[in-house]
Amino acid sequence: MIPYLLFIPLIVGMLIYLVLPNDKDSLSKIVAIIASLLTLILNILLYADLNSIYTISWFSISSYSFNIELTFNYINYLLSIIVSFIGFLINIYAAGYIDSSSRRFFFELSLFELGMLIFALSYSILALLIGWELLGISSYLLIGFYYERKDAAFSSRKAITTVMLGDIFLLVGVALIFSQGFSSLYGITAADNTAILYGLIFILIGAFTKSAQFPFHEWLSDAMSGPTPVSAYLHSSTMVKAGVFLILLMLPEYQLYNLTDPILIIGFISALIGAINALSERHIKKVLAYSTIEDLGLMFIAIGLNLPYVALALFVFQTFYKAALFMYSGVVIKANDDREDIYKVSVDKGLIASISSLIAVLSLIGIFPLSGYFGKGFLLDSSIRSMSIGEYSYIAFALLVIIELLTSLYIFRWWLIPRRSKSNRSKVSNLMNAPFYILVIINALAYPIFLLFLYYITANGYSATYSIISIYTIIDYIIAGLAAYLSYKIVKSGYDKHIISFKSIVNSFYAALYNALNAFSLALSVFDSYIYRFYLYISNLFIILSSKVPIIQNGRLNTYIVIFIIGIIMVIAVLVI
Amino acid sequence: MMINYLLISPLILGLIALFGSILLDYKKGKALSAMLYALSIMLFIYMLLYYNSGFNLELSYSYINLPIIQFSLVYNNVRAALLIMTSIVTFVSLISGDLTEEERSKASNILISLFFISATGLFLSNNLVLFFIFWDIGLVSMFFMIYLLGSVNRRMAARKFMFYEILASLSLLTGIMIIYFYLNIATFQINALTSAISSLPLYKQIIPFIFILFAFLINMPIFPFHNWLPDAHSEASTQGSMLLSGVLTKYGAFGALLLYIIFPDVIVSYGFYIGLLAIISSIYASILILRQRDIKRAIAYSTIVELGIILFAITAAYNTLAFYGSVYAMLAHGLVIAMMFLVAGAIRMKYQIRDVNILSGIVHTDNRLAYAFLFGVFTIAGMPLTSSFIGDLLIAFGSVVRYKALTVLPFIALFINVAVFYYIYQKSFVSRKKYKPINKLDPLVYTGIFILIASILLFGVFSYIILE
Repeated sequence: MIPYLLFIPLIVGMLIYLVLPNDKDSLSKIVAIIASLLTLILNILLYADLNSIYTISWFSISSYSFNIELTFNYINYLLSIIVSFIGFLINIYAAGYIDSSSRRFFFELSLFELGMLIFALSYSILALLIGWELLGISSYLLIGFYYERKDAAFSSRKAITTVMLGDIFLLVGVALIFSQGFSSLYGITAADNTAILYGLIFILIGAFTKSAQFPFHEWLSDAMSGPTPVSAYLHSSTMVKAGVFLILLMLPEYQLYNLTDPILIIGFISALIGAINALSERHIKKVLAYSTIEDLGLMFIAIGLNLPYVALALFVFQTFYKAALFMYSGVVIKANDDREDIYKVSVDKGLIASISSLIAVLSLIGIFPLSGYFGKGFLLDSSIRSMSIGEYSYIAFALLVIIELLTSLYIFRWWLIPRRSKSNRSKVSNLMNAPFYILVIINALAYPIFLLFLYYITANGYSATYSIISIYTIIDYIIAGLAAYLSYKIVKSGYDKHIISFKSIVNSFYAALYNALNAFSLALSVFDSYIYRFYLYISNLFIILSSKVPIIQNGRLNTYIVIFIIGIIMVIAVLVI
Repeated sequence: MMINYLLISPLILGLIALFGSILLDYKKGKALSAMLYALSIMLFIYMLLYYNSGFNLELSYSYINLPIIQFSLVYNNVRAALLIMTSIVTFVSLISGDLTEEERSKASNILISLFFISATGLFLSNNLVLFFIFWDIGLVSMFFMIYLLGSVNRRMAARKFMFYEILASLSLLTGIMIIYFYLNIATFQINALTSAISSLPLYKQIIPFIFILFAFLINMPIFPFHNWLPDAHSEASTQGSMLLSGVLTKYGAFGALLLYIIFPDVIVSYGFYIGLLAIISSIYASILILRQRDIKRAIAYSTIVELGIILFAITAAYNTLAFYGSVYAMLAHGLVIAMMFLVAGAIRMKYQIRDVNILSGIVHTDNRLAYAFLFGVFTIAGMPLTSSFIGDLLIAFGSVVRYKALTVLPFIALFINVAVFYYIYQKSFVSRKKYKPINKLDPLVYTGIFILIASILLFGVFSYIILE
């Protein structure tokens, strides 16, 4: 089957939104759902093309050819399936969520999905760059969907600014690798090459900006001023994982150049920052955003510990519980007339709603057999066995347990505080509830999915060793249980209002940087006017000179002869030289 | 070959437009010139198709028996990129740039046609002296475009512009004369010059090189010779800004490219330092954008940033990718900056203000202008499928060969530039407060913006037309 058929439904959808009249909201919603469903179906059908590469030649200059190459490598295929599957659910969810200008919303969402699919299937550098930069731009448009709100306009700008910094580093990084004669980023074997070393560092910076890792993590929590479907899709399950995905695929190169330790350290810092910030946050979605920073940090930790299959498992299963949590928060927000403070919202305390949200929460903590376990539990279990960092693995394990403890604390705080108020029975659209319940079921039945996943990756040549339950995970459960109990006690006693909130040091660092740049700009503009003044002085010099010229032009023949001779000497001198 | 005589036809079209504008009244002159420029766009594309199918398009004619000022034209894909860009920008600036009353005059039609002749002649010329002649015609027409049609401080800005550009032009002439002194053969054909100059020792090549380079640095402009540009741009008419930034600054950039062709040895030996100057220029301008309150000035400074990047690529041009990258970036920048100036001019016309701190909520009163501005910002940032993406891509891929990790520095300048533009977009375009429009805009303005956006996308997707 032709692979670019995959993009057709989305492109056709985008063209339809362009010509649809503005008031036909329901029509564009139907188009969106159909287009995303077709994309999903086509993507599943493309399983037949696994492990093949397709080339579209774009242009070539002398011996360099610039091709868009798509690969159906099994990891790429896995990501594309996640993108189109979650994309389908999100389109249904958004049909219930978006009230007005849905034409514009679905246009931007389709652009995003297109970029994400191109990125997921990219093999050549060109395809990678196209997908990557489309992600940044469409996320800017989507975060700023309610652009007339001041916070949305601000945070979309913050996001694109951070992400664009990563874009240029990625561009130069891949250019450096390309200049050494590699047309693809994968499978580089040349060691001790400075250009490639710099290239890898630059690509790492690009990945950290996209995946919101320290010190570029601040945009992600602000990005929550976008609509909830966007938070659920871009900022939890797809776009922010682009960086992780890229580094995961390039792990052999990073090992070759001994760059796994920085990845590990940044991962730990980000995970801790995410967990600590989530503890004191009041905004219902920002808690989850910080939690996403933590999850992404955990993926980088897994990569840094040289556990690619654990990172891949976390990568896959994090999608389900985080998307479910975001969808739940969107339902809560809608039921509370767009209030987003966890102290001011109330939730449906009915049995179904309670159990399903609890399943999502327990998945996040990583309780067997819910979905989070197949990422977090394995990470804990494998970290202590990891050979790559020797005796430091105990420190890594201890830090992971602390992160687990914090996770359990903040997520139960998040879940319990709204439950203190009366049950909220207001109805939300079933279009929003249905995808949420589907994801909850997937989270609950994660074990069979995991077996499928294991079969899929081992069939394609990954060797993975998993043990279902071990002493380390039991230690972890005890700690998580204690933390949950503590959280319950704190919330019940009303003591939670005294939790200290941490002001972001990173934000104030950037503010200081901006102020410094601004002051520098002031200094430069003064300097700039001095440059112009310097030219003015020179031109004044000529005016002064012209007033002195009459001294030479005095009409005396002997003066003229002297000047004439001097002139001749100068001409001869020039010619001789 | 008959087809070679096609080379002279754009100049003839320009002359017809010139005489038409002089003889006819404003409206008829505009209609006639618009048709002629549109014809020239098609002509250039037609000639490009011929070139791509393997024809060698050259025309030489010595009109006095002196080989020095041989009338010699050449057409290839590098020149095609610039010429197609020039004719599109001229066409759009003619049909939709005439926003104020002063611009709706015969003078503007005449000056645009004169500028068109200059630009096409310059980008076609295969002779350094011919290049110089067309260069000066361009300066004269641009001087009057600022001096007669600009806004309040136009006289000051025009004098400043002329002061710098005359210095540039003198320096170019000096360089040409020095070459004449040094070489025994008396020809200024580019190809002949290249082979003649390569026989000179390096230190003798440097002296004319520096003189000519100085002219181009002023014209581009590169720090520290850039002071004329923000004033000239902010005071020029909308048409003037579009042509000035879109086309006139490319004179210098194209000249620098010729300089690379004529003096490859000097570029290979000392180009690194010019590249460093280009980096400094880009970063310097990008930091200055932070303090600009005038939307036209902000866009003008972004021109300095972009031309710094182009010069940076030219200094690495012995790599084929950097060479074509610089050409493509010129094409892309010409189109996008013309669109930005058109939008800025339309905003000034519609709201009678261009201070970004006062302007607000344009998206509520005219969403097409706001989206066009945003698209322009995306393009400057190098969004895929726009022509800037190809330019940035090729520049990055080519320049790393010479500059290694330093290549990231000019792109950081681009990043600061774009970050400020996003800030301007947030502050003046999407804020909730509405600033009331005062005038209505001619629908032709939107047509012009649409044409430019369409061509940005066209050259972004079908880049192989020019690159192969």
